[in-house]
Amino acid sequence: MITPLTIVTPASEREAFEAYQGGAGSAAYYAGGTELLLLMKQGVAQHDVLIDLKGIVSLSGISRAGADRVRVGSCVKHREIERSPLLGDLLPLLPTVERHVANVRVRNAGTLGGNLCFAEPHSDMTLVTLLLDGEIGVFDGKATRTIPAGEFFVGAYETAMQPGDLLCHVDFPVPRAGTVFGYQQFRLHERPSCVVGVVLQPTKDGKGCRRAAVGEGAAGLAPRRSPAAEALLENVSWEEAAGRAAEVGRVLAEEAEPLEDLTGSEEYKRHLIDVLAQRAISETLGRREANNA
Amino acid sequence: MRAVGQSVVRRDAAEKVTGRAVYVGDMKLPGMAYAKLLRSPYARARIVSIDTSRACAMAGVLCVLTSEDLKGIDPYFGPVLKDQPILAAGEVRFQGEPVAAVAAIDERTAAAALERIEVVYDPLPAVMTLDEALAPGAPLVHETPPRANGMFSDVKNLIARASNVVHEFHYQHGEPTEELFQSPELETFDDVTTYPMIHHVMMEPYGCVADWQGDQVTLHAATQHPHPVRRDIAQIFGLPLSRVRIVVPYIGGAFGGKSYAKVEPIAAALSRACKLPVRLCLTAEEAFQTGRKPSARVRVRTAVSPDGRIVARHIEVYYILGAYADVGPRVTQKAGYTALGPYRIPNARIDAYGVYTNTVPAIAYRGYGVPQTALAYELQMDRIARSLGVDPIELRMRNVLRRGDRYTPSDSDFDADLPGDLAELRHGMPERGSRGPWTGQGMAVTLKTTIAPSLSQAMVRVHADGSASLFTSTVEIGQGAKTALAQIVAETLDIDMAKVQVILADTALTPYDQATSSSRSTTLNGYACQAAARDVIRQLRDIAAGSWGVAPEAVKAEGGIVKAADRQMSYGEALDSLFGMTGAEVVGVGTYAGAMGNVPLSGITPFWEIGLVGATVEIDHDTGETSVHELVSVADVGKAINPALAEAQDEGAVMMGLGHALWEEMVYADGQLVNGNLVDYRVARMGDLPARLESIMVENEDGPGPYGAKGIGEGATCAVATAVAAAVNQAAGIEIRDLPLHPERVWRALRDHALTAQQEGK
Amino acid sequence: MSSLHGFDLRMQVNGQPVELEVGYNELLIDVLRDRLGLTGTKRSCDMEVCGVCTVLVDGQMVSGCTTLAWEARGKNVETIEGLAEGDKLHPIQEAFVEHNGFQCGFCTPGMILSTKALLKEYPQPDKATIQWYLHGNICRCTGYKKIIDSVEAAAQAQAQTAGAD
Repeated sequence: MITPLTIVTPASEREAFEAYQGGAGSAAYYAGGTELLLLMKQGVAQHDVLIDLKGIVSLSGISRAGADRVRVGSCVKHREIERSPLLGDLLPLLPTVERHVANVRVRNAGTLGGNLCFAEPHSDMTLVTLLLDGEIGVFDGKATRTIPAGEFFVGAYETAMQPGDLLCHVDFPVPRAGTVFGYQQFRLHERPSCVVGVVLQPTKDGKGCRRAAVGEGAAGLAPRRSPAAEALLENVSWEEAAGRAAEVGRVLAEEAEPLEDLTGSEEYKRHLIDVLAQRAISETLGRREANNA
Repeated sequence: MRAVGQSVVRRDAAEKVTGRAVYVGDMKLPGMAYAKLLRSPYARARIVSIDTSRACAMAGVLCVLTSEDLKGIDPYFGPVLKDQPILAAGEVRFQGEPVAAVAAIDERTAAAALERIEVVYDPLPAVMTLDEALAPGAPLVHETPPRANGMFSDVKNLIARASNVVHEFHYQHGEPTEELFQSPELETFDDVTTYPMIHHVMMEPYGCVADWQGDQVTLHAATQHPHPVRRDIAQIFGLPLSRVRIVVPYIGGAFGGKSYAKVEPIAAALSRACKLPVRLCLTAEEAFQTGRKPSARVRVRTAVSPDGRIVARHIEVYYILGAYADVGPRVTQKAGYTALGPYRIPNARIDAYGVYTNTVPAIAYRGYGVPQTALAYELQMDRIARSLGVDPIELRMRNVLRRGDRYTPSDSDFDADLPGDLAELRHGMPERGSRGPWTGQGMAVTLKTTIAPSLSQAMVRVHADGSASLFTSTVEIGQGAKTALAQIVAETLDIDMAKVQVILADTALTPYDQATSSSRSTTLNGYACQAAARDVIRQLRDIAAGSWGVAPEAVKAEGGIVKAADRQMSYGEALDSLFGMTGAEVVGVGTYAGAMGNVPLSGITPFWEIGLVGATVEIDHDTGETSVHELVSVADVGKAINPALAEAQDEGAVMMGLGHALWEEMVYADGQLVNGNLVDYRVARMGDLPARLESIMVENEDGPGPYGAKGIGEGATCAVATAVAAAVNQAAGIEIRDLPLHPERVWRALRDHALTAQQEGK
Repeated sequence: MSSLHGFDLRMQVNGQPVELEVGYNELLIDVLRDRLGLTGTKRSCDMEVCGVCTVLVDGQMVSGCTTLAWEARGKNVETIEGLAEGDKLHPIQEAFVEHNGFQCGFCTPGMILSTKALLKEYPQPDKATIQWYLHGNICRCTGYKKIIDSVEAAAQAQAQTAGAD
């Protein structure tokens, strides 16, 4: 049962921050509530003040930020991402993955910012943000600083943010034309137990891969990318990339630190990462061929 | 026929699609208090002390009960053994066992009060698994042998003993000797299977509103067993049956889980203590801590002749029953008894055991112990078929019981056409020529007795205008009983369905019915309803005959009219003619009473429920994931009173079994249930529906119920998980014998199989 | 009037304006069931997984069990009680009746409201779309086949009505 509390509705990031500081440690930022309210119902979390961020205009909306970036406000709901034509055009990995996050009700309420702040180990969007080199804008009461996704996810339920920090938006660099992705999910329960994502950017002549993002999530405490696996796929022809899928799988699986849980043992999850990585690469390359056809 | 055999619209349709259907949790009585339970955090512990003073002192708290407060009553319940305390007394025996109960002005206050109850426990070593329970010197779940309830006349050999084996059932016919199993002329197969703990996941968790007034109590209860619960409550509180009223509103799913007393005794105790109506509704997580299917370990040895005939079978069944016996002893003997499978077996031996552990009590569950044993005997039939190079359906054809056979020499005649059913499956699920390398087909055929002996009574009132009301205690749990029984009564009275009202499950009004369970309602309660309607007809014909001065045999009742030669009158006119004034009614009563007999279970099963399911699956050999492409069930229903609802029952049974096959398993770690919620416990979702789900109705009109109906709804559940497992084994060339078939299990089996093949190749 | 722990909630429920003082900590399901007596909305898993507590807020389906009543401020909340007009069932309800898209009925209010949201977004959904959209609605009785039949029939009925306009 949720204990009595007050909800405040700041109009700006600064007001929100001040409300947090005024909450004497028992305030929490609140947007979708899909994770927070579950914890509060179970008595795991207790807050006297919820700071409802949804009225802060600057935290909403999906828009271009300059020529080569897209900004997603922290209070943008999963379903907005899923149904955004702009993201469908420029960053299709985001809406594609969103289609399978939890269920429609959760996606109607839950927000990207909430999901990233919560850093639930089985989150899809944490890995996707990592793969897309998301830059996370955080307001700390004085200024908005940018934390690269690679530094943001520290552990299970743990981010690089300090208490009171307010996640404002995520900027995603728009990948160059012809960038393709693959995303493989192993999911038995409500949340996936193992995911692997691959993003490949083409060389200028389009004959091969210039830059790769390869990462796995859900199996361990936090999502992680593998520079070693990525190196295998960079500056190679598409044919060579295809030929290296097995090696990528092996490297990713070796580096991973999966944890045993109800959905599988450490050994099995490591195997899954290998399998899913290979499939994600072939999905990625298949998408490239489909685009060219 | 005008009503029977028609897929008429459900009686409860309008209420259920508009949200007007009332379930227990929707009820609010004047002054009603709300209850919450404090549960044990330990699998086994001694209760050193309970201090409720801080909870009692809270504003809004109306009463707090512990076992100490239940001294004036008989605070134990259980349908077979009275081994379950209403609130734990002295010792807790599973994590989640209720220790204290609070009633307060609202749920929030009751929940807050729970946190102010201080319980000091002294943890004790617990037995969590079968092996731990059977180990020499194992801690005893019950140190004192429990008392028998006496509710069931067919439970034999209940031995009061200090042992974790709470009940045994043994049976033998022919000469199933060791020499036979070792005979060089026969091939012997020996397999062990395990079946996990599975929860019902009824969407509506348990609930009860108890309303104690003076020296009587009314319980609005989500129960499948209003009359047995009335008996339990009467015994616990020392009341006459007439002073206990159980009213059952709509129920949000049961599947056996709402059999016999569950939350009703504690709700009644709270209401009695605080002299107010009390509503106790459990959460879904608490439902996981209330009951589950018996888990099992089964060993089956079968000796087979070279031409594929079973010569001897010995089956050893261990049902793991958890902390309290509930119906476990009956499952042990009833499903133990049918564990040989639907086959002609000249030499047979059964040893079945029910075993206590410190886990959630095992309670009734759709299939009543049969799915657990079917997994063993049917997977073995497949192995026999492979070994002999015989088609699996053909192997069954050679061995299945024929109509008129006896399952065992002293049992009643077998009543189904199994070769015909198997032919239906072969026809309905032809082998695909183009199957890929990782696809497979499997099937399973099972048989189940229904509860026997059992008793149902019904009453039909025909009103002055010729309309009629049926009173009986069947519970509408979603199966469509309210509709099917109306169809039977309308057909028998030969009146329009719209003129038949159905009043169900209020023990103050509706006659005795033993149980809405065991696939018996349409068939056996339906029999009583039909008999009541016939009794009315007989009386009306007698009245008309008297009035006209003709023999009763000369009077016919048709279309709401009694007629003889050139004379006729409506039912209402007949009543007027008798009493000389209008408004009188005629009341008919009907009974179904099952027979005891000199059969191994002592109650003669009125029908044998067949389960027959085929499955086509595809394995992802890299991940071990199973995709089910096709599920075909042959439902041997006798007569479908309402074909659409019969099909709906069967489809639901199949899909529930699909969850059992692939995902469902309650997992314990360190004495704690770790996945007792719907985030971590996976049931079949809409996306899991196979491309083809087909229910083939076989209507041989060979059942004991009205118009030849026999029970359905459990059969497919008994067979489907095994059929899927058989298909997986065939697809992958592996020998999995444990459920569920979760991906890692299949992956490991594939890997071990590949390793073995590699080693053999070297 | 708002206080430290409560506020005046003004919303529409099934098209009717409603105003009542609720706590900030109150859940939408409790306000609907306990305060307004709209018990058609059921509670089961309490974890946003099963869908029996589904209600529509400005047409969007949400889990009443994990939505603060606060979120309904100024919005229209639709519950199962709002679908039929008197004795005239909504076409989705009619389809569920006709095709036996329910048995025990406990998941049915959520299933029907979810279908309403689905058909608004995808008026002619194929089977895969239905299965994807309703993934978060669990039914333990029917085996889903007859629910999908019901949704397809409702979509057809909706298309015919639209065609007739």
